Amino acid sequence: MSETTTKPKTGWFHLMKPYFEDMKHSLYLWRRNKLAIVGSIIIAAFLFIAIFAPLLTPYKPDIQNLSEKLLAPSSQHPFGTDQFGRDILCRILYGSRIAIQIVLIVTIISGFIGISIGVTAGYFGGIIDEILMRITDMFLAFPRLVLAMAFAAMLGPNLTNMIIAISLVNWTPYARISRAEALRVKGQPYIESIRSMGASNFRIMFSHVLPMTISPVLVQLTLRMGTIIITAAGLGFLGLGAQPPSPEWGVMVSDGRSYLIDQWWVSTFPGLAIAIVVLGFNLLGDGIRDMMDPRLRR
Amino acid sequence: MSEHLIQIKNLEKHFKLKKSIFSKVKIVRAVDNVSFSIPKNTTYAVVGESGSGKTTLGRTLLKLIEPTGGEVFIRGVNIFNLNNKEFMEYRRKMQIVFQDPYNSLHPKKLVKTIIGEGMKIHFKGIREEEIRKRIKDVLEQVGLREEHMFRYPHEFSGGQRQRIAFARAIVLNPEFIVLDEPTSALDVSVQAMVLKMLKETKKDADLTYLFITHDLSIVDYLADYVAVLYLGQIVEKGKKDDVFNKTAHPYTKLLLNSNPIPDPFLQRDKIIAKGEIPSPINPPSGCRFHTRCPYVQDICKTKEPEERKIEQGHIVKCHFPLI
Amino acid sequence: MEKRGNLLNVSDLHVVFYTYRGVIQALNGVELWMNKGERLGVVGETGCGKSVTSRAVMNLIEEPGKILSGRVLFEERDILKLKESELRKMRGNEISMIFQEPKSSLNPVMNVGFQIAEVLGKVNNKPIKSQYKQAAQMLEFVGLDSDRVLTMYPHELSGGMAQRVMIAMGLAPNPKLLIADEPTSALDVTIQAQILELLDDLVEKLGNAVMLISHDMGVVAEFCNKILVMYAGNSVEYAPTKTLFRNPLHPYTTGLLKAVPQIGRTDELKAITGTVPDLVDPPSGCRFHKRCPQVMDICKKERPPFIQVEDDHYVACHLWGNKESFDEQKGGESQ
Repeated sequence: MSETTTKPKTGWFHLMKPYFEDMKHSLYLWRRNKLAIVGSIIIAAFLFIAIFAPLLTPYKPDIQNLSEKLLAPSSQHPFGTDQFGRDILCRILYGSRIAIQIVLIVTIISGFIGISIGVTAGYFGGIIDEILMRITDMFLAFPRLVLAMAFAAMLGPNLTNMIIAISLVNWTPYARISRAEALRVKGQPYIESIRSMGASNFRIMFSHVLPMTISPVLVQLTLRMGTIIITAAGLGFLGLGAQPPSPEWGVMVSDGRSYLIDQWWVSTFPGLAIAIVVLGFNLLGDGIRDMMDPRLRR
Repeated sequence: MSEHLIQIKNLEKHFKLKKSIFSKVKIVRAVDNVSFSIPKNTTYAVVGESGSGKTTLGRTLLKLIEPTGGEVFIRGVNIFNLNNKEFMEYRRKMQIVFQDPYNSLHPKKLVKTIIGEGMKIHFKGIREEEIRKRIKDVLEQVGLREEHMFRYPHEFSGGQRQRIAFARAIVLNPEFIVLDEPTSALDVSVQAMVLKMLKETKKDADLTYLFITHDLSIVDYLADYVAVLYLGQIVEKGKKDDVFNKTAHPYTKLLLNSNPIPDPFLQRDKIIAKGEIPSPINPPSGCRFHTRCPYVQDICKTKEPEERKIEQGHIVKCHFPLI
Repeated sequence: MEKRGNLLNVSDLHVVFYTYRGVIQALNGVELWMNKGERLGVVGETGCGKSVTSRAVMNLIEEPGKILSGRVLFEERDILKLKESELRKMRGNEISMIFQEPKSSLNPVMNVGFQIAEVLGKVNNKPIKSQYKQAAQMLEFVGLDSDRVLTMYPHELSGGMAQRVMIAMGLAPNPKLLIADEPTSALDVTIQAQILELLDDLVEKLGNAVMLISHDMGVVAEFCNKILVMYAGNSVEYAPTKTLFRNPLHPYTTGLLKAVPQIGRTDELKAITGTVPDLVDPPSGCRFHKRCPQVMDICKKERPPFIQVEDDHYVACHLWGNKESFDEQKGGESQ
């Protein structure tokens, strides 16, 4: 008894609907959580700066002007200049682009590695699970920064290799979570049902189990973004990542090491930038964690 | 016999339980030597309480759980002997509907995908229009509408979800459907609707049902035959009317009597069994029902009863049948 | 406002829940009353508000729920106006409650004996240590072997045993009112029969009033002497059990009775068309009007009041507008 021919609603937006439904309740809670809002504002500002950097400053990050070197903060140079006469505010703004690049690419790569390993381990169980989890344990046995340093040193110091190195140490929590979700999901009737239809393991894992692991992993991805920036800054500071003259914030802090006492602004402002952005991610992460707490989910 | 669609012989599913490295392996005889035959186009009910093994039976029958023994014949073919490729054809012919309407449909998939995926697996190369048409047909058959295929499960009520689950089961034109307590989680009025839909569709689509439940009123409404399970064994089986009216096993009598009747004018003597339902890990010796049987005698505690024929098609497993 | 029962009177109770989807209008003017020693069955389907009503009777509605208006009179006291300290004295004492999932309602880290002794200690105002003897007696009272069970932990109990412990804890204070919220829904049918038999026996001896909440018409038919039918947050019909089954007046009650399968029943089941409404956006007027086979224009506009149509028989339906029209209609039929 259908009326006229039904226009199928299978556009992108409609297919994403169940993920939006998951988020609706979270958004409701988010609006009531002040920390999360503050964190979001900081991150939003960070994104804004990264996108519009060239429009926000008249200077260029790599143009040297030795006549203007090491000037204190003034109306002309709000954050002062460094030893090469480059405006520091400008370099911080451009540096945010590098920071975002790092965060996004590392998140994508490590998310991919983590989810693949986690879902495979959780779904198959048995010996596959054991092997994959022992590999995960091996990565977890080393302190993250030290391991990242080791990879970065092995691969050679540049931005790309640093991104790879951080990705290689960042995937473990995603593996844990997606494995836990896969374990939970594989016993559900909707999986039994598709199995009774004769679906192959690959089809079930990829098309049925994987979509269910995305929401919880998404939360973790956000929580880890702050740590990615700190790790990147740390590696940059040590010279194992982006190289000068790149305006990467960690490199900038390192640049100002020799001038800490008299020209404090060279290291301090990039350092503050790092601190504020990481604070933003952490506040957002704390807010998200509070929202996830079932007791507080009202 | 040729009019039997399904024949189950000595079906067995034992689970091994090991509490720790140091304890001995315990065996749970979830399904223990179960045999019965289901004639074509009938509804065969399997009733039991916790630990009876009815849920395991349903799944083992379809090889969703690997059996540890026995044979299942579909029109004479032993499906447990088939290889994966041959078995796929039978997969299509046997479907299952689960109890939980809130977890039997993938929460992140459109109803269209949920129902249609089976077609993509079994009919390689089938065109999108054919799939849509078939989905439209089954949705209408279960009382829903074409546009419902573009929605998500969470947009539907429990009763509607069970209808979608049933649509999924019939979309591949199966011959046999296992219904595992499909209405237990539904409200009374919704249950009535689903039961009626099951009854009508059976006729229209030439189906045979195995209906697993604990509710004897539903058995009375729907079933032609019934088997009563207790701790993994069939204690009584036969035509529904025979089992209900000429009850032979004390446990069946207890079940019938325990069923609350929505009629305050009906007076009847209550039979209250003593004791708890034993755990299937440590079933009682001899007749497994002896710990709760009001008619227990010495031999019941030591010797497992044989199957006795009350009349044609009506079998009971008891030393002292009531008939 | 007349007091219809000598033990409990719930009148015009409105309760809402604030959620991310909107405000759920859970109770829309519920009327409920009980007399001492009575057994009231509260039946209804999902979303009818029976559980919410029972929590309101103990003033246990918490965020995001809120009692907007109404009165709950327990004997002479308005429960909704009592202080928390007075409420705490009453709960587990004059009014007690048992739940559907006994194992989740018992504290998993304390043994059974302690939990019963705790209840007794509060009731008798004595230290818990002194109450173990009486706790053992309560266990025997509910048919359990006290030597074994006194020291057991909830996870070691079967469903039936756990529910017996819950009953022991519920009846230990000899409450004036015992609220049982679907006490047997999670149990096997033979165990359910045992538990209902036990409850029947004990309550008969002790004389407590029981409010039994259930979705199972069979259970209330066997256990209760009065029945209140609820739908979508409203009381729709109230009558003694036999009257309700023999002469249901509300179309929802009739629909419900026709939909229940029963062993030996020969006529075909009839389902009620439509689905339970979403209480965030409930239907106007009578909340059942969209599904009612006898709907009239007025049903869409005005909520029918819950009024008496004959002795001890109340209904909220425009078909039975008042006592006069009921007598008229009844006279017209050959009854």
